[in-house]
Amino acid sequence: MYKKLLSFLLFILSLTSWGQFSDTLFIYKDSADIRGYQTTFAIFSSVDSFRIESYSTNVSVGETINLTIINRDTLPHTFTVDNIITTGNIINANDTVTFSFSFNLPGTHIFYSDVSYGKNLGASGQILVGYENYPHFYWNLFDQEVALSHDLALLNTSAIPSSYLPEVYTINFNSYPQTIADTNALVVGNVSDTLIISIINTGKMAHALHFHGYHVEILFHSKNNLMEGLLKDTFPLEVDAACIVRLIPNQSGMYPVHDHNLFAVNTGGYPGGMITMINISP
Amino acid sequence: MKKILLIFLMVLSLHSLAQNVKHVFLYTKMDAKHTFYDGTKAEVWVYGYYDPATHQKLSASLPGPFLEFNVGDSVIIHFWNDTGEPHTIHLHGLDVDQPNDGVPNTSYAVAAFDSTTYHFNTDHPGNFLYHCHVHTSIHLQKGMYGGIRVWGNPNQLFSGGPYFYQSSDFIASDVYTNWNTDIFQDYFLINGMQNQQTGMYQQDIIYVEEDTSYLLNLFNIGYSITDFIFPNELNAVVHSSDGRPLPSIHQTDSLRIYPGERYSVIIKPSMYYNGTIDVKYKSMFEDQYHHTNQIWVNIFPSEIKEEKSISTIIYPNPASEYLTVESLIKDQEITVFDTQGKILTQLIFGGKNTYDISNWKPGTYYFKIGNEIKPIVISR
Ligand SMILES: [Cu+2]
Ligand SMILES: [Cu+2]
Repeated sequence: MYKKLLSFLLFILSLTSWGQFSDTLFIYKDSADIRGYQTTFAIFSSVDSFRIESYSTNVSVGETINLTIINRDTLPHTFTVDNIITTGNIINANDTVTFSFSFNLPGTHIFYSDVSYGKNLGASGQILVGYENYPHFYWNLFDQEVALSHDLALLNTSAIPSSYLPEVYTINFNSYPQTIADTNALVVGNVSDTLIISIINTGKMAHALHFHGYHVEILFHSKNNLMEGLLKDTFPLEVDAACIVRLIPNQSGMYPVHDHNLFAVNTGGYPGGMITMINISP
Repeated sequence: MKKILLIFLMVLSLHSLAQNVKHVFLYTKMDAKHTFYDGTKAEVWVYGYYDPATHQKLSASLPGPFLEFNVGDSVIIHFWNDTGEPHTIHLHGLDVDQPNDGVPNTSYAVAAFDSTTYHFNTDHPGNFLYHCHVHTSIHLQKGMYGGIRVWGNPNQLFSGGPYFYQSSDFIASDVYTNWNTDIFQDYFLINGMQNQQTGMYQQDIIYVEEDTSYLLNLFNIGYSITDFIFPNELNAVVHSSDGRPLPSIHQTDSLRIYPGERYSVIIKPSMYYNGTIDVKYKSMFEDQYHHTNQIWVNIFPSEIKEEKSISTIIYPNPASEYLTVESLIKDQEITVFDTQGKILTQLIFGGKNTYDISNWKPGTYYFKIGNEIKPIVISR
């Protein structure tokens, strides 16, 4: 009886420790096949192995986030959130560091490794703050020039050349049609639902997303506040932009969303690359 | 029972009365030739109108025919794919349903020499686009695109929105000679034209009286980012984008439009101005401009308009190689002075004529037309 009561008390305690979000991420660097392109990635993985993943999570405004980062790479990385965590954030090879922080406004934020072989190779993810009561989807737009990815990983170069011309365009590091197997990238809902899509651009060039079937309302745009409040079917995400859009579908069906820079929809053949789908039931 | 049927039929007929059905007849052409500013004639794939009665093909062009509808129209596009490859029409921004979306893998492709109809309603006034969605990177940039304007109330941008007196539509696009993997950008277009071409036709030049609102519908369907640079004299205000009003309007001197975006801008010049809206093209890959095109703008004082109602126009201004004079008045006398007041030439003129001015020295020239004196700048 006493034991039961204690466990019940502990259960209540754990429930009331709201305002705290904790998770562990592992930095891995390896190469992956993206529709025939053998590309080097650095990834914040939520499991202790290399896999194609763009980590994302949703927290409340003011909630304390405790992220423990374990660096499985042979080189140091950082855990950087612009304006929040910018110093004292180095994680050496095989080290473990826990970062505690919070956001006091609704929005969405990029975290990344601020080294030449970090974000440039995909070491990034996103934290959506607020909008807890709606279904969420997360898109991390990323582009990569295959040879450059190897050079960055091998420390042959640390800069993006002005002749940068990517072959690989991805959403959450997947190229269509793999994107629609990703529950974060494929938007699923019903007519009249309120759906929240958090979108970041961690690539090296701007992307212009076009929605078929719907206009979306831009709720937040970190690089261009003139965009906030607009109802758009096409809008840009500049380099390092983070934005939140609200979709309230008024019709059912399966509709593509893609970069309207048409270089981005050919990865591994057309249609491929930076394309996902919205699938709405009546 | 009969009563119910009668009511049913009445409701049906009311419904069809409320909607204005508009038919559009478009065909495809894959061996069209487009003449670029440097004289190059290159193969483009385009849309054109055809006559439904005779199946006679009318002009096909890059961009394709500019389609205009009114809010509340029920549109049927009769699409005749008279080529050996599949094509579609995607109605970009019109939020049509899945079967009419023109995407091969979620809707369907129209097979070679087949035809179909696309159905949709126009719910919002604004600027939209149509383009082929079969292997878009090739088909679109080969030229299979055009603009769509949905009009609301006459001379009003949208219900509750601003009024305007006249309007022009400008579609920015680009063409790469090597469409597949080479990003070398060969041609940068406004309504299919580049450089001196943009000042050659009167319909592409903005003539606006001072203190008059003039609507610019701007589209980008290229690979490049485009920056529209508005001179301060034009008092350019952005009112809507992608067929929706902005929550708050804003004045602009530089409007960036990404591939697939559209904007509506109203200019209301407060003073005399002769010059250009520059359209600058920037690659998505790197941070530098590759080209600048000009949209020519002539603002004239309101008194002249009242007196003469633009009986004579001279364009482009500034000019470099050619100058076109158009006059509605027969035997109009035009005297050309230099800045010293010296008479250079006198013309008796009527109709439309284009003059080779390539041997005129750069500088300002005054054209006296009746009581009006127009400065024209020659620059190279
Ligand atoms: Cu086509
Ligand atoms: Cu489109």
